[in-house]
Amino acid sequence: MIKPPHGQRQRVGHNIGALCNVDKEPREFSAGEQKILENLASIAVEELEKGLP
Amino acid sequence: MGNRFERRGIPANERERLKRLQGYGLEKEYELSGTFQHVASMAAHMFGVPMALVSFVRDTAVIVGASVGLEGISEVARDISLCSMAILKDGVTVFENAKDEPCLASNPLVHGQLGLQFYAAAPLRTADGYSIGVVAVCDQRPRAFSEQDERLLQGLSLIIMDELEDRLAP
Repeated sequence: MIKPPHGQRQRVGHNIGALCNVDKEPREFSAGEQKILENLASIAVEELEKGLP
Repeated sequence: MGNRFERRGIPANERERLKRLQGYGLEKEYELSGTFQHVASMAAHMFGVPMALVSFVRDTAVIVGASVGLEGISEVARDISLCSMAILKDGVTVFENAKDEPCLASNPLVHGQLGLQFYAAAPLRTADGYSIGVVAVCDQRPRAFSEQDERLLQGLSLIIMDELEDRLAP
């Protein structure tokens, strides 16, 4: 199953990049793990938004 | 002092430590920016526990800056707070089964309604070595916590400190 990566959303809702985990082995990725990845993406966006005027 | 830990529970560098904490200017906005909440949420998911928090240890109270599973708790008296114990140590503090800890035998957070059994906290340490608070995870059930877990929790504490240092930057 292929899911789109977690997009990094700005306040106006554009996906400007992605935070990705990659492996050469297949693996499962639980709902809890997806939540962690979303939190990390949100932290990255907070960081980027500090640079906005 | 009115502190039930007496001086035992107060770091030797308390005055300077409080100055550092005040320096981050958190007084008016303990309801902190998204990053603090994202870190608390991430901690709960990473360790599979129902409660996680980012807290700051003030002189008489521990302020909950962001939390998951502790809705309605915005501060805890310093003399009963586990977080105020955790800042006494440079490394990660872990109580895998708090009910068995002699030092927590009369602690109301452990033996009262909240019934905390598992507690792990990494100090939020300034670059010059003052612990101003912690990032912590807890559960009402006992839980094991490995060295790898400790390193992950310390990693989360670094994200918080980066965020706080950004605020200090002119």
